[in-house]
Amino acid sequence: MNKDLDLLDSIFTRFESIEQELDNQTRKMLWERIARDTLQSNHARSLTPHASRRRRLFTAVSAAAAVLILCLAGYFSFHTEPDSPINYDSVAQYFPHEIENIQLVLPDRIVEIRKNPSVVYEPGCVIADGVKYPIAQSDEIHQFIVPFGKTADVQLADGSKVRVNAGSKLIYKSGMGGTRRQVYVNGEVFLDVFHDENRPFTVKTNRLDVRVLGTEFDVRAYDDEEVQSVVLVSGSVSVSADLLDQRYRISPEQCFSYNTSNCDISIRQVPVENYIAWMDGLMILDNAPLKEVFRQINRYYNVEIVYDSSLENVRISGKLDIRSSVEDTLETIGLVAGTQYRFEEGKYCISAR
Amino acid sequence: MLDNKPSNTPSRHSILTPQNEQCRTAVFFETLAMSEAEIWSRFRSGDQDAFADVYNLYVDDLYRYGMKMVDGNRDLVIDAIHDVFVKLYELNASSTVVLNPRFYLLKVLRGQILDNLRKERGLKRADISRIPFTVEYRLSNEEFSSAEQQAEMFERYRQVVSAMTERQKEAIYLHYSLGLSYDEVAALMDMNVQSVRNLIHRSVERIRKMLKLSTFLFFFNIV
Repeated sequence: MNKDLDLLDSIFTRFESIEQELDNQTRKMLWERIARDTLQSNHARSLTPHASRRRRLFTAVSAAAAVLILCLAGYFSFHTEPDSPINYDSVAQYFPHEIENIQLVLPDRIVEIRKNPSVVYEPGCVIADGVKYPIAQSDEIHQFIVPFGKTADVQLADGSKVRVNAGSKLIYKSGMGGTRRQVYVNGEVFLDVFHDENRPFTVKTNRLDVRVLGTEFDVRAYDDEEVQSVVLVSGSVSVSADLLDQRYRISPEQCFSYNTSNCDISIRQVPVENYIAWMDGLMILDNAPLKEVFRQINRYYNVEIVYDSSLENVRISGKLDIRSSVEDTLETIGLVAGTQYRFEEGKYCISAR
Repeated sequence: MLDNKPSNTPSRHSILTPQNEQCRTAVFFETLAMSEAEIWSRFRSGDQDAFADVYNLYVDDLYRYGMKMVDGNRDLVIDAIHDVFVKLYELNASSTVVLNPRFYLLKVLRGQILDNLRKERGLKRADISRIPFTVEYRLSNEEFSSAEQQAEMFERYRQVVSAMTERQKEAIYLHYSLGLSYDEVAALMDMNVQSVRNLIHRSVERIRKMLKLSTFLFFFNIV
């Protein structure tokens, strides 16, 4: 390989590309056009949501789902006290793989986020795609839903930062509650919790309950996975599961995992990087069965994968770049696992080579 | 963790002060990078004048690269660059952290051009291999013992480039002309590093097939 690179070096360092340069007049005209479309119209642009366009883009099905969400979310926003726990199961459930764009579900509207997968809460408003949406009350229930194939960031009202992985949902109050901060997670998130001793922070999944002061950690609780886990990067958290009385305190670089079918609990030392690699667009596999690998690929790329059952327990190790195309990823897996793929009727079919 | 922690950012003072003779070169490059970083951070903090500086800083690279993606269709590139800067401006209102603005802009431009081309030509995603990458090279200033030798060298080069696929040409251009690392090339072209390595490996294989290696190496190692 290095020989190859040397060979290329020996050629291309002796040549230079011939460039067509941008002439000064075009340079100036282009800048004026950009300035006109940004600096001067900035005020109007950032304050006017493109409501009509958004409405047009809804399908009949998602409009129906939206109505359901609006009703329920609206209902809850009127019936919560700042510190009362959120009855998450009652908040309308629809699943990240059913939607195409990242969605911020507010009591009176659903904001589809198309450009910039990052939402920021500021006093009195939330900013998504450069548009400010006013928040009427600090105890409105908001949902942030990330479909398969995407990841996104949320900066909550208390200053905590959350990276939300593909196929995940985060539910919280717009103002993050009074003396108790609480978020609900379905899927996987990485949290950087803003330190505030007076306002303990709790992360709930349908089975776990994680209490925090200020810290960085990863919570993973996908419905289609048997094990839910909490991995701590720094600080300290305590975890409880289901209705257990006991709370388990975990230290940095430890992973708390809970098997939701047999209720087994384990706390062990883990290489933290492996668990948070998804934030850098990497999937680190350590002797992982293909069954598991393909499930994750399905989640990250939102593609359907079918494979021969003889392959499901073939195990592979290594690092996958999940920002590359699904074809590249399947090809890389093929090199290691001895498989090949073909694309047929909208599905990727994997077979032994 | 999600953000650029101030603690990870070395203070400007420590970067600009040469500690000893040895680090002078390093300091020089850091200083250049710092002025870029400074323009960028002024822009990020809402300084509207800095937006023009950002434009002037990066528009040439964007134009050069863009022109090669669209086979010289100037209007298409100009429109795409316009869209890229408008997007950048809108992005600035958010908390997204862009660590390497030049790379970021090149990547957004590439996506924008591919989108526009697909729309224009009705191409599907998989057709990216068919989008040409038009680049020509000339010999950089190097002394040759004879005109024949120079001509020979150029002919070899011409054969090498004609043996490459469009994406191989693109990867080579990004690495050698725009100075991106292979990691950056990979991220820019939405490939993993291994795929870029394979791409390069395959192009070298082709070169080897086309040319008798000994002759070839002779030509490129002389002078």
